Amino acid sequence: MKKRIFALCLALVMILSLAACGGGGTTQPGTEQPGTTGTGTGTGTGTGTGTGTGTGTPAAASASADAALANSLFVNPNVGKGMYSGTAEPGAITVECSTMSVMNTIKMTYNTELSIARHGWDTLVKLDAENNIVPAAAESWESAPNAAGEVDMVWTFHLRPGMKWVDSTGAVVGDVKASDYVFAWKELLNPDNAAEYYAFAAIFKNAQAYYDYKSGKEGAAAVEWEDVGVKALDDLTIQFELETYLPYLLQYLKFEVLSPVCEEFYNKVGADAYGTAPDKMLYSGSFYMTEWVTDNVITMKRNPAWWDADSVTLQTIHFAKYSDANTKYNAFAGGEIDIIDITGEQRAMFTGEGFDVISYVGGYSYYFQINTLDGPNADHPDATKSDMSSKSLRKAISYALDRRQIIDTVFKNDNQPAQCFTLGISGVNTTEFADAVVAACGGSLYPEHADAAKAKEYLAQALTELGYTDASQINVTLMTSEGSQNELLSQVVQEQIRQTLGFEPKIEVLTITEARARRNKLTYDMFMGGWGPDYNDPMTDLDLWMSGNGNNHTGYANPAYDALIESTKTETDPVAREKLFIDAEKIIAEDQFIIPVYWRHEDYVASEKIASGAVRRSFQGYFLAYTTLQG
Amino acid sequence: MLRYVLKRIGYAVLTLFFLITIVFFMMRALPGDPFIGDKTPSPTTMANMRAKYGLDKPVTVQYLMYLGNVLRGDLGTSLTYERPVVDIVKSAFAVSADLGIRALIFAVIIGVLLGAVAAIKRGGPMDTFSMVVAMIGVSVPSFILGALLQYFLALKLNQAVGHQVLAVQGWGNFKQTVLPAFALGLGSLATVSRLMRTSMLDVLNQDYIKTARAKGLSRQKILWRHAVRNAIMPVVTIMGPTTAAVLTGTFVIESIFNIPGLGKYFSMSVKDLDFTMIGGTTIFYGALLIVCTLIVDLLYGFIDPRVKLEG
Repeated sequence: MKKRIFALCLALVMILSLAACGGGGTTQPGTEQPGTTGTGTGTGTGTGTGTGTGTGTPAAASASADAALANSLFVNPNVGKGMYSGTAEPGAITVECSTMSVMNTIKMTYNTELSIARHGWDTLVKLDAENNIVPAAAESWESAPNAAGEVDMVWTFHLRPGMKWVDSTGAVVGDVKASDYVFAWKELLNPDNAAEYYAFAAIFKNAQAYYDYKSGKEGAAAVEWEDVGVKALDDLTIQFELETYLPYLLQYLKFEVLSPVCEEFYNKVGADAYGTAPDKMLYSGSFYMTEWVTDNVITMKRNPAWWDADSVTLQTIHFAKYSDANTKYNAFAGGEIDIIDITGEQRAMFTGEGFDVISYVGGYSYYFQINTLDGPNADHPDATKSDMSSKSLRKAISYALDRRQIIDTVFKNDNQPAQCFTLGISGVNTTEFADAVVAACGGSLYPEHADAAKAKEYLAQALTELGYTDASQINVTLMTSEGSQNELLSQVVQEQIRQTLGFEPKIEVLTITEARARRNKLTYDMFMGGWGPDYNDPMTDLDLWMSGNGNNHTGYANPAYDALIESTKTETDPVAREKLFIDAEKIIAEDQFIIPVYWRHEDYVASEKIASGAVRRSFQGYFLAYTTLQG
Repeated sequence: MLRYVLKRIGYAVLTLFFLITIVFFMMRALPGDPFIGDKTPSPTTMANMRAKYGLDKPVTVQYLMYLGNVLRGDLGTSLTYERPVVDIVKSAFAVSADLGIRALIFAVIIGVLLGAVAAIKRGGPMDTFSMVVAMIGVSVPSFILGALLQYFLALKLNQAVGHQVLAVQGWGNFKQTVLPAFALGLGSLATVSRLMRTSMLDVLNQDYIKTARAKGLSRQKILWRHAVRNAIMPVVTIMGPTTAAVLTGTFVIESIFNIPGLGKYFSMSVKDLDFTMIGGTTIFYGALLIVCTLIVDLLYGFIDPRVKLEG
């Protein structure tokens, strides 16, 4: 009881701080980061099936594959404890889902929205519980060389026969056709939709040129849809030619933005109305949407017309949004929700009670991004000069950080000190690419605890580089976006730097939008950033630091790094290719234009109502179709 | 009377016009870009987004277009939700209004009763009780009250009796409406009851009450027909602002009880730089406040014939 009261007081303090900072919240920075599906600790890269020339019918026949899949899913360790019984509605579960603003798959950007799409529609391929690529809408596929003789450039996908479109009442209204996939991809490339993730459809031959032309980009050559290398050969066959070789094509095709859209229905309701209400969409996945209260709850029902509906026993999923961590906890304790994401304080409480907390890696890596410029340049005309342009100073700060202490003080959860930049991507011969990096480098690239000796060594060099005589002359500001957790993190880092390096960086707290604007203009010194992967290949993280990348806000431009990443695009040997990515990680650690700080781990609890089958992992924030319930 | 109403409506329209203009230019002056998130879209995509929402045109052109659209009842498409702002405001305000009206009914009925009884039994236990309620209602912020109610009256009570008496959160059935309506209404209840008590005490000492008593009217008749009817005037006066406060002040309560009302759009849209949503919710709330005040002014005339509505 005492503990509960304490928790309540804590929650009240949190609410107060929430009110004080206008809803800044205590979520970790980037919790609502757009468009990241996370990556996995799965075995194998999953690119094996169907790659290579010739016919590559996937190794596993679908039915048995799914039976095996259902068996291998997560089993709830808390069943039978009699502590948190979950919701009362039979056959239904309620799970927490944060952002769910947009349900038109073409326009989706948030991880959590993609989770809902994963239930409503089938992409050509999907990930199993181990994050291996398995057939979904496509039963089989094969690749062939293009006219120039380059292998794996022309791909043919054979759809599962008998897939149906259902409406928001579950009634079957038509057949899913190959053209519905092609149509969705065409709309993704339609500038009128202004889809943020259009690039996932720009992989086809001439697709990027088509997008540029249709966007009215200056100097873009005329390219019509007929010239784009993707078409439906018949109702069940899709064929496309790639613009450039893509070693991770299947990982790409799994991305939910590439879900099908029923062309006839879309044209009937109109582009503006499509996806704005449950009855303004058609569904082809394991569940269909029956109710959508904006920004509050989305209800989905089991789709009996789904091709694998026989394996689905769960009847209803409610995706519920909560804006208050304390309410969420009370709702969980009160049997009004079955899965909630939890804070570090709540984690301690559940663990203390003997209720197991489940944790997974979503693939989010957090780091200080740094303005490395010493003034404006052609690409960044507004950029300010920063003392952080001194590489030695960046390294000094990196060694001065006690990453473990940051996690223990700020998050108090399962987050881990960053050992390299990339997280959650499968390795070629290791479970995780990060493991391969650490193995190749003989240990973590960044220290877990502060290394004062090395920090001071680099500080001495930094003072020479900057022409200062004393550390107190160093002028560095930690730009911080408002939110109690963000601000606490900055304070801890400020103190760690002060203790080890003898100067105190300033803290500047801004609204998130202003901070982002300053970040993009490079009018900052240090700013916490996070990155999560979109697809299961190191490229999703490491091309970020190429000089032309629109998300590289460090001013870092290194031809050697660019060349290294470019070379991975043509390297066909997976091991050699992985080595190139490891070299890229080494360059990051050497130049430290970002200072990796921590790897995020997502902590959550599941009520005892859920027996097994609820998948939560990288690239699959939720996949609940095979969930089984107690009793 | 008609002239008065027309004049008031004219002022209301003018006020709204200034509100729209000021908000439009102020939100454009906010630092940041609505399309830059943690990730930055490609320049071509950014240009497409701006074109889609008309943000590629000069600000003055945008302003004139916006005014024209507002006149036609079109508040634009939300940048965050990619849906018409009008649709979102309609469905979300229906919830806020439902909650607000419940809170208001609770606050007024209980507040008037409590205040009247406290005045009649001045110095008695009911008076002390009403004083305590008023103190709590005025001094405890609704978010603390909400969190406490949620913990003790929903979670703990349900656990104690073994089944759900009141829901912790959510919106849809009666069990879910009790606590938020209570938490939202208590502040107003306190104000109403204090005001009612003061006013009632004042009225009870008036000569016409003595006259009524001298005439031999029954105590009930004196209280309800003469005392309460006159004493309630100040309460009616504050009904406009109170209604507006209850309807627009739901953000924190909605957040604590996870209610899909309009409050969060009002506050979150600023954070998201969702221009159309900021504009839409501001215009809506502005219009609501103006209408509430207007209605109360007109109600005056009906309740108290001495008030003459003149232009």
